[in-house]
Amino acid sequence: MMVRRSKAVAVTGMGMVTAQGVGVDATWAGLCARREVLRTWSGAPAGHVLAGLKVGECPEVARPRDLPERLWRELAGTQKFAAVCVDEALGQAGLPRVMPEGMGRVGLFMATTVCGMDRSEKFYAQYREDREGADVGLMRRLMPYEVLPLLARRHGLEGPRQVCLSTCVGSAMAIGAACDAIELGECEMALAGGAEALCRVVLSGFHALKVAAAEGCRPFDKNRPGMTVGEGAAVLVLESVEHAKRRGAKVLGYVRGFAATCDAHHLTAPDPEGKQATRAIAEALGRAGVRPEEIDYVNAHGTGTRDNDAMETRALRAAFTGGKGVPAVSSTKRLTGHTFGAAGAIEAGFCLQAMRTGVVPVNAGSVEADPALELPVVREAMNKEMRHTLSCNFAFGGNNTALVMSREWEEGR
Amino acid sequence: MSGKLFVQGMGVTTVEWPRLAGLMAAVAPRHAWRARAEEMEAMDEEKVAGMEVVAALGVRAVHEALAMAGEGETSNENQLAPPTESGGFTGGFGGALGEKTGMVFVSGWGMVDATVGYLESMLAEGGKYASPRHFSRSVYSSGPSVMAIALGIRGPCETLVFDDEPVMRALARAEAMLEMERAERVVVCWADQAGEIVSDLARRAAEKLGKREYRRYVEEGVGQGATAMVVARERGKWGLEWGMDESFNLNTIKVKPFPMDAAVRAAAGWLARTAGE
Repeated sequence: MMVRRSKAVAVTGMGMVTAQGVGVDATWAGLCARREVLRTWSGAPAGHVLAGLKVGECPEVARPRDLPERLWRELAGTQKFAAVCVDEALGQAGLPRVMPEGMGRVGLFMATTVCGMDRSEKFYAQYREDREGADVGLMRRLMPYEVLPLLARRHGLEGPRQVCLSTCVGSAMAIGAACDAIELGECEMALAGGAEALCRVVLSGFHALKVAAAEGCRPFDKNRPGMTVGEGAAVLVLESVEHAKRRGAKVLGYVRGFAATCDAHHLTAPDPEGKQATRAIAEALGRAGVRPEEIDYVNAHGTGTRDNDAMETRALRAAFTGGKGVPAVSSTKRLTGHTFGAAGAIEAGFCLQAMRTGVVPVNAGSVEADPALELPVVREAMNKEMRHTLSCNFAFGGNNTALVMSREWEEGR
Repeated sequence: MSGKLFVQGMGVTTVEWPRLAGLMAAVAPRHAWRARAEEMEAMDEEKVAGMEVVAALGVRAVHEALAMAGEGETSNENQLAPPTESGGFTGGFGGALGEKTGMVFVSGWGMVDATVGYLESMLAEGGKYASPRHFSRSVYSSGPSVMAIALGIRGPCETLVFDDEPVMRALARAEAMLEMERAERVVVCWADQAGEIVSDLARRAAEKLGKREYRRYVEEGVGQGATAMVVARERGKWGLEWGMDESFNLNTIKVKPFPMDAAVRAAAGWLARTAGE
């Protein structure tokens, strides 16, 4: 496939909140230890059908000291997670909380699906009973874009900014758009990621769709019962290689190639052939200038639903024909839950951590391999030197993304 | 970014202007011929009527924009057009062309009916009967997904929101897609739905939360409609070069806000300016 080669974009900071813990280190330690953290959602009404579902629920995050308590109370869960992740990411990147003069335009590319739904569902419950009596304060941060001015003002970000609402591929798309903006000179640095918070709307929705597994997902398993809803967030600090060099930043890894396609097939089901998913993977590899056989690890979308895992297997097998075949694959969703709009950024972070630490995350939850899915699924955590990784995400509406990341990058390669 | 940005086609669906021809007649009458409504292939109205309001508005606007761009008769994969006598479909994008087409979709409040319908189903009867149909249609990206399915768009489809300048920022993202060769043309669509709850929430935002940006909605009401543009690096059959600056008379058109409204105003201003009228 002939595609335009992308410039490498340096990742110099990461922030993460998942069910495994607050922070990249806590999350990664839990992942490597295969720590089972799925539990009943604390917000589920007692005796309600949702109380029977295990989810990936994050520990409470502490209010950053610069955010007033009143504001903190008003924020939706997604906005709180995003704020905490940005702090960690900026800290790791060696950047101050507020961008100093001379830093140039810094972009902000975020993603979410639930937005402020955790608060607005409460508002609506009151509203339908008593319109004028409903607590209007609950809709103060209702709109999905509200995370943008919050973070832009707090951190002095003056570059392009947007929120992607493309559900489960949202933050992968946010990373892709941020890399485009950096390559095209719209900004030299950007924060990119996504955030989701548990709410009744999402849990009820997936329960109604009959795809939520009561006891947790088992990706790529023969008897996989469905997916697990999770919450979490991740933000990456992305910058041009020159910018990172100029300010002496430590580079954690590089985004090399991103691609997105759409099945145009069905609102909720993937195209079983996975043709457009395969095209996304092939295009991302082509943009990265990385050959399929050079990929050392694939972080699969691996939701644990019958349709997704079968389609993803087909797409990976088609994208990795010849050579060494499909490289080591794992889905990390049993250990975090499916975090929807945050999944792309969280899993991109896992790819970076895998390359940095040499640990291939295990495909937790699977007990018996599905013989219909011929895939080299990682059943036990293993150590391996990794230079290039691939992260795949797929979403409602047939949106597919693929992200190629590398540990090192040489000019001209 | 290098290169010019051309609008190859445009579509408008509002209460005031159900078709672009009406808008053009208002702001650029000498160029109204460019709105080639008569060349548009028929849509399967039954299918469109079955869509969520925002998706249906978007489909109508995009369909018109594609027709104007001369992309009406290239494929057998369009599921939007009524079946032909032989049982196939006509019009829209084929596989290869669809893969080279991307989409940027912007909406202020998203799928209002489906969201309210879903919330009602979730809250009624202790939540025993939450509606899967309403749930899957309530997410913002369901609108563009339906549009992609209907029109065979298989390039990158991004659902975006911005806290300011939704027209220019959406066009900038489309331009970035073109520049990065992610697509050869990008359909940009802004769509919003009016409704009692939207008006009521807008009033509360203005009156109780002091959000000044909502005052207009209280005074003028919330509008409903969609605007679409097919943008590319090449002029195409109809294409006019995009360009806008502060001097554009955006007050020409009195349609109500939200991103769709801003897009209609921008489109009208741009048309008037480009046409020199």
